[in-house]
Amino acid sequence: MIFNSRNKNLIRELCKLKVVKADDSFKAVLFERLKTIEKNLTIEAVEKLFSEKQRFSKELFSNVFGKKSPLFFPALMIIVFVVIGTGAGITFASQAALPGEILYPIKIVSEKARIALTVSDDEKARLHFEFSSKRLDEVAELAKDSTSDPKLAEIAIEGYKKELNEGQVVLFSVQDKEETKKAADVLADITSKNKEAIAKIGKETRNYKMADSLKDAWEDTVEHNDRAALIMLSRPASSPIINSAIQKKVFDKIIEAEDKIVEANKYLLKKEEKGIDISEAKIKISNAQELFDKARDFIKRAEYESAFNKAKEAYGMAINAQKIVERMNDRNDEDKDDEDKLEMFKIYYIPDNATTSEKQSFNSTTSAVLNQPASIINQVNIRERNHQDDDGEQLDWDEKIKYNDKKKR
Amino acid sequence: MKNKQNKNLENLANNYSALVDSIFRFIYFRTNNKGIAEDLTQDCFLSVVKYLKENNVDNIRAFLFKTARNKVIDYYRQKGRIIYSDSLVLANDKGSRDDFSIQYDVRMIKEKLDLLESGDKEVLAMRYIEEMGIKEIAEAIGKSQTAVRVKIFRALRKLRKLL
Repeated sequence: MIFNSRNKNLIRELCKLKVVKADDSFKAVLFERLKTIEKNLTIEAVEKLFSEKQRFSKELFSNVFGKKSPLFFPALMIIVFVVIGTGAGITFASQAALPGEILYPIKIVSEKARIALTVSDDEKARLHFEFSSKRLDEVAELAKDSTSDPKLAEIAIEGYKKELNEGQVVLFSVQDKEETKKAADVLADITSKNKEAIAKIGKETRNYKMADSLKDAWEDTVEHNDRAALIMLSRPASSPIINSAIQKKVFDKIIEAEDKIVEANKYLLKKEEKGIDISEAKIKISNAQELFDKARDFIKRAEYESAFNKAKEAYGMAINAQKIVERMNDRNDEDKDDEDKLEMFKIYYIPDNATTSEKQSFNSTTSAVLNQPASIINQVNIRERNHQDDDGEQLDWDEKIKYNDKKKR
Repeated sequence: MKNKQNKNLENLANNYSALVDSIFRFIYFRTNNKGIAEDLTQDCFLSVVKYLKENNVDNIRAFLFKTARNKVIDYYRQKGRIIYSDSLVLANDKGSRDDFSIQYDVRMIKEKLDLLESGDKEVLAMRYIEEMGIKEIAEAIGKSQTAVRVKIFRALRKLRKLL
């Protein structure tokens, strides 16, 4: 009686109302709130929802909202309104976005908002550094794809540099000397980690066009790392003897400078074979060598701060020399070899495994003889002797390179 | 006891998306305002999850509807509430984006449904839109199964007269 045909039609009509649904972003926000109450709420269904949503937005971007499409501007406006309306859900979904994706600007804005809403300086700096490492993660993600646009990596690297810089500005806004020292510790720690991360990206990537951006990030990180080390040096601990961590920094810097000079020289020679004029760069290299020698003298006299400064200058000079040649190289070959560029980055910027492990053993011996400046100098001397003839004369650079190659093998 | 609670939560988790849709739709048909419907849906889920931590229920869907219903009643009871209805919320999935005929049909049936009393509207929604069983509906609105059957029958007859 109830289910006569008219009723069936009616029911079919009612069923159409099923298309009324809640927004995905609303579901996401609600789910986040539910999770704060009940932590056991792990939901495959919701994760599926998001993976579908992200895929969908990517498709949407490439098909409909591509920059050349006439829909681009209206689409952008719609997106802006949607963002204002349902911010949190999209923010949540945007966290995995990479540069060039539709949700990436939202990610950046949400990060800025997080920092703006934070009161304590410590927390602000922590967030800046957290976001800087996020930028590096993005670069790593982009670097996995050998065809991705190097401009996207550039965007991420710019973001990285900005976060790092803002982070250290906040970090050093403290007045207290003791606090400043702590801040330098933090910065040194962060930048060392970042250096490792960049080196890792450089080693693994097959995207040759990213070399320039990676170099940029590397140099910036080194700069900050140096700054942290200098602050640590200028405020020695209460004990008369500079503590082991700071000593280690100075030794590291000196080794870094030395490696850099050797590598820059190797690069120069390689380019000279190709017929590029390296006379200008050669002067720079010999300047760098002089500075490096001075740094070693300072170490012998246990003047760590001056030694560090000289090593830093030597490092900068060697990079300068390399850059001069690179510029000439670029001018010479219009179609410059990208693959060559990345190889250069790998070889001349990132210390390879052999030198790293050697460094570690070297540093462990230095820390073992801590508080005995004389024996540290001996350690340095032993290392020097590796590079010198019995009569104390320096080997010329070619032989030094051969020696280094042997070591690596 | 503990197992059953976990099962309830698991059930909620696995059907999360569909359940939110159902509850949202149910509240939306009663209030005709998207913002309020979202607020109340959120309230409803928050209190249900809180409740499930301590207690267990037989049928999670019926319990959710019961809570949602109470939330709506509470909302209307508060004095000075003026609810502005806004335009119909349609699905945001790809399928119905350009399908204007469906949108038109939906609007028509929705207008007719709105002419019914809220009690009739809610049983029809539960029975035919959410496809709940008579027992489930009885549990949700706190009436006997016979009463629910009669109510559905009468509501359907009223709606038919309106069309």
